[in-house]
Formats: sequence, C-alpha cells, structure tokens
Amino acid sequence: MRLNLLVMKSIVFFAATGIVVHPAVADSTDCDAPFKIMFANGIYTNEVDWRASIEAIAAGIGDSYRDTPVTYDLARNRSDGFLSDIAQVFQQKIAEDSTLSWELLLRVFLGVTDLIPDSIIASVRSIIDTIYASKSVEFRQKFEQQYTYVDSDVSDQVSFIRNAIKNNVNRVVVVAHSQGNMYANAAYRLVYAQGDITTQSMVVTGVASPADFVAGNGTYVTSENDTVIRTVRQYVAAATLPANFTIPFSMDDPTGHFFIKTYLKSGPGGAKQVIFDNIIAALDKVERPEDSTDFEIRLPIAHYDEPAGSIDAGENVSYGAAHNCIPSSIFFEWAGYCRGSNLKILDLWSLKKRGNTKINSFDPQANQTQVSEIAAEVRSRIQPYTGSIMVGSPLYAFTQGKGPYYLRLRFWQGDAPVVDEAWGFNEQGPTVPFDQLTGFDFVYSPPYTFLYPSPRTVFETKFSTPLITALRTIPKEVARLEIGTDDITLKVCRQPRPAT
Amino acid sequence: MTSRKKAIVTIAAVALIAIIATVLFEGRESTQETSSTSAGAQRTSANELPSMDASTSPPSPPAQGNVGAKSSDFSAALHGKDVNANGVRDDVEGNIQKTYRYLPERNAAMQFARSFEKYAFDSSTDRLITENWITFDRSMACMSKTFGKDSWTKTANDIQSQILNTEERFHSYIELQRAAGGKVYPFTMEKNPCD
Repeated sequence: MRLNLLVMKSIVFFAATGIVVHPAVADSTDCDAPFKIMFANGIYTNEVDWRASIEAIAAGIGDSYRDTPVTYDLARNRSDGFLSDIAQVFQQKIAEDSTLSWELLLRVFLGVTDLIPDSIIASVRSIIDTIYASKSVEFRQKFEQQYTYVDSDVSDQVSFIRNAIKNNVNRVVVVAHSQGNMYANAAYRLVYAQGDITTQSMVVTGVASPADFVAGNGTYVTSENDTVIRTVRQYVAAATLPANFTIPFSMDDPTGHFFIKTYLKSGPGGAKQVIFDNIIAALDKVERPEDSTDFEIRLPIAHYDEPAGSIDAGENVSYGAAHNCIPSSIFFEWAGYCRGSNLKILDLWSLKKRGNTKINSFDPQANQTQVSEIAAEVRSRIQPYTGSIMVGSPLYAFTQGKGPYYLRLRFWQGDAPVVDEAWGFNEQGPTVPFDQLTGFDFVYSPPYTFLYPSPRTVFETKFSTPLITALRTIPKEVARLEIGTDDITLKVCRQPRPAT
Repeated sequence: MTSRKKAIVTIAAVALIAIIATVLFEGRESTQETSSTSAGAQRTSANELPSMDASTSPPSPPAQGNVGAKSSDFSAALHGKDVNANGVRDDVEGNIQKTYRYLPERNAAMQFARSFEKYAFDSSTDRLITENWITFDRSMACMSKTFGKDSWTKTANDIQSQILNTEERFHSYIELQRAAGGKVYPFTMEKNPCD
C-alpha cells in the first residue's frame, strides 16, 4: 500500500509538470530502454474508445516485447471545437423540439441507441456527421495554411516524449488515428527540433491519416472506403496520403473511418494484421536512446530462410554473411552467389560502441582493428557470466560481429549429382562439411539420397540456439538480450558512471 | 433517524421485497443481455443477486418522457441527487441496480459511474484531471475485465449517456476535454482493476 501511494504521488507530481512517470518505467533500469506505445486519438472519439483501442493494441503486443517492458499511454488530442459545435447545434434543436434530450444526443454520438426510433437516430446522426465532416475539413485547412497550427496543442506531449527519451530512456512508438496523425507529425518535428536527440527513439505509425506524410518515414494504413479521409483528399488537400488498403463497407461504421469499428475489425490478412505488422515494425525500428548502453551487437536472422524452389533447383546457394556476396569473399571462387535479400545484411549487421557510429564488420572499409577491440571489450563484460568464450564458438562469432554462413554446391560426376554442403563462421578458417555433422543424412552412392538441412535448420541448430542459451545466462543489469523476428540484439548496459 | 431517511429505508425495503418476489416467481435468469453474453468474469451462482441491497439502493427513477432518455434527474446541479452519497447519481444508480443483477457487473458499472462522474464534474485542475483520469481509466479496465472486451463499451457508453444528460453536465464534460487535451495520460494494465 505504501508503495502504491508513493507511485501515485510520483504520477501526480510529474503530471502537474506535464510529465507522467509509469511505475514500470520508474522501476526499470536505463538498460531496459522500455517501449512506450502512445495512442494519439482523433477528434470524434471518447475515453471509452481510447481505452478500447489501447486494449486492442495491448492484446496484440502484450506487456513486453523482445523481453523488454511495454507501457501504454494516451496522447490526448483536443477535439478542436467538435463537441462545442455539436452542443451548440443541439441546443437549438432542443429549443425547437422539447421532446429531444441531451441524453439522446449522447446516445447517438456514442452509438447506444436501443429503443430510439430510427428516424430520430438518423436525424441526430446527420447533425453529428455533418459537423464532423466540416471540422475534419476545417482542421486540415488550418494545417494546410500553417504547418505550425497545432504546435501549441502538442507542447505538453512534446515535453513528455522528450523526457521519456532523454531521462527515462524510453523508446516511443506513436500509433495515431485520424487527426491524431497531424498532432503526431507536429510532435515529432518538435521533439527533434532542438537537435539534442540524435537517435530515432520516436517512431510514428498512422491509421486513417488525413496528413500528407508520416513523420520519420513511418508506415500507415488508410482504407479506400474511408469516407472521411476521402473527403479531405478530394476537397481540401489532394496531397493527402493515398489509400493503401481496401476495407469492405460495413453498416457497423458507414464512414469506414473508426479505429475499432472499421480498422481493427477484420480477420487474417485484413487491415488489423497490417496495423499490427506496422506496430511491430515500429517497435523493431525505434532506437534506444544514445546513453542507455555501452555496446550493441545486432545480428540479422531473417535471411537464413530457404527461398522457395531452391532446394532442388540444381543451383549453388549461399546464405548468411553478406561477405559471401562481395568479390573479396573467400568463397567467390566457388561461384557462390547472393540470394536477393542477402545484400540487406550489409545494412543491418552492426557492432556499436556508445558515442561511435555503427560498424559493419563486413564492410571492406571497416576498421577491423576497431571491430576486434570492441568485440574483446564485449567479451570481457559478459565472460564472467557465460564462462570462457572459445574461438569458433557461436558466442565468439557473435561478439565478433560475424555469423554463420551456409553453402550448398551441386556439381556432377558423370550422371551422378554430388552435393557438398558446409557451414561455419566466416572468419574461422576451415569450413565444416555437413557429412561430418550429426543429424543429417548424406548418401553418396546410388540412389544418391540427400537430406538437405535448410539454412534455417542449420542456423538454429548450430548457431542461434546455443548462442541464445549462452546469452540468457547474462544478468539483465549487465546486458539486455532482445530477440525479434528479424534479429538478435545484445545491448551491453552502460557501466555505472563514476562518482564526481 | 430523520423522517426522510425513514421514508427512504421504507421505500428500499418495499423494493427489496418486490424484487425478492420477482426473483422467486421468475427464477434467476438475468434480464440483461450483456450479462448473458459476458465474456468477462466467470458468472457464479454466489454472485447472482437475488435482490438489491436495501441499505444502499435508492428508489428507481420515475419514467421519463424525453426521447432516448433513461435518466430522470435533469436538475441544474452537476452531480444531481445522490441521497446515499455514494458518488453515483440516484437515477443512474437506480438504472444500474435494475439492469445488472450479477454482482460483479453491478459493482463494475457502479465503479465506472462513480469515477466518471468525478472525472467529468470534479476535474477543475490539471492535477485533479490526472488523478481522476487514473481512477476512471481503472474503472474502464474493470468494465472490460468484467463484461468482456466485446461488450463493455456499450455498457460504458450507456452509463455515460445518462450521466451527461443536461446541457450543464455536457458542457462540463466539454470543458474537461478542452483542459485535458494536448497532454499525456497513462493507461493502466493492472491485472485486478476492480475495487
């Protein structure tokens, strides 16, 4: 109880200064760099909608992502006079017809219209929808005329987000709906305006956006049948982001615009899945604030999947480290070649020391001495917990910023195909033929049967599973392990700052 | 005990007897559609209310002529009449008592109504807005947990519609929206948000 009281007091204190601190954030270390998902509401919604929206998001994301805490907030946006306008019009209507009630207005506005005649619902709905369309257009026009129109409306949110990033070491993802997108774009610009936040620790993803862009090149979903956004695009700003999804018309929401009733109401492959994919992508993309860690090693893992149709295509295949794809590769002479997306690894694989730019150890221009120094420092930090890190072990390769490769070569001896497969760590010298490994079956005589392990199998069996097992022995206050769908990332926590 | 209190207790006792009789004759089947479809808390016979609690329940509100209105207190005061001073306006409470016979649902609806009234009408400073939001948000979490994520919003909006049933009350809510806009508020993910 006492703890709860203290937490409540801290919330109230910071709220008074425009800053709200979550208990989970206050309790977590800098090294956690917790995720903070903020829902930025549109103007035609109420608290119940906001809560339902964030619960729907939380149901898909949970209270942690990549073993890191996730908290949820409301970036509450002003209704821009929408409710006042409705009240004004309704006041006139009630003056004209005394049988009408304010509760009726609320019931139609909130969609609880049991026992109310359809004609009355339609009449009141018409008033509300007309005002809403008008306010949406007006809002967009104001923004069109002056980009900074909403700046004063988001100043508290900007303070909150800047504090979250700079002092609470949060990673902030804003999920914006409708007009919330305009506010989120404005907030993003102001968060970065002072130039003191250099990491992409705020990411925006939009839903039903009336804006021309998503700040920070974020993602968005807007339905072709969203009549509100279509109206804005047709009559106010042609540059409004184009629709990129089609949600079928539904009488549940004739406007096709609401977050819950339309955008989250779909099955697999629907807009809901795209929205969650976008949120996950944003969580993967949002960066930790600069000061939270001393070292970071990021290993991409998504590229070890077997491309469709390649297993018996009679082709030589190599996966894994991108060095296989560049002329300096020791395997170049084997005519191993890149399978499309392998090249992306060049951009993803990284070692990083605090205060320095990321180093891609496969970049021919990279300072390999520096790579080795960083790797040695990382090993010295984690070795007390993992035990000695042997050269050639998955953990050694990982800390060196290298990863496994996989080669499959096919050539012919007479009529018989001969397949040679190998895996190993790129900087560790001799490769390991598969037929020397257990668990795989190779028969080099008729009928020449080969059980080809997929790159994913090799990767998991020989590399990622033992690697993750080893990394999990490291206490969270020493290093944070984050396992995503695309990568394994180790963040070595910043050591306590020496007392001054 | 004042004569007024005696009258209330008498009316409540009569209501109690009437409800017990109704339950005895009609069985224990709930009359509330959201109750029967609740995806939230597990219903148990122990939680099924045979009657209203005579010590706290005000009389049911009189029928209203206004279209679409369940509420009956159209007085100028924001909080209206709350005889038992439990933070929920009497007509709203009467409707809740009448509508929700399953105890967890009734409690959740009362928690929601109480916290929404406080949030809508007593949030005169930034500090109070934040305090009242936290309580109100918790009550929404309780509603979601109790009624289920697919049903709670309708119940919540039904109660909100009754509470904001006059021009003064609606304008108070608009003022709150204006004052609270542009700020950030936490959502609770508490596992047990019900009082």
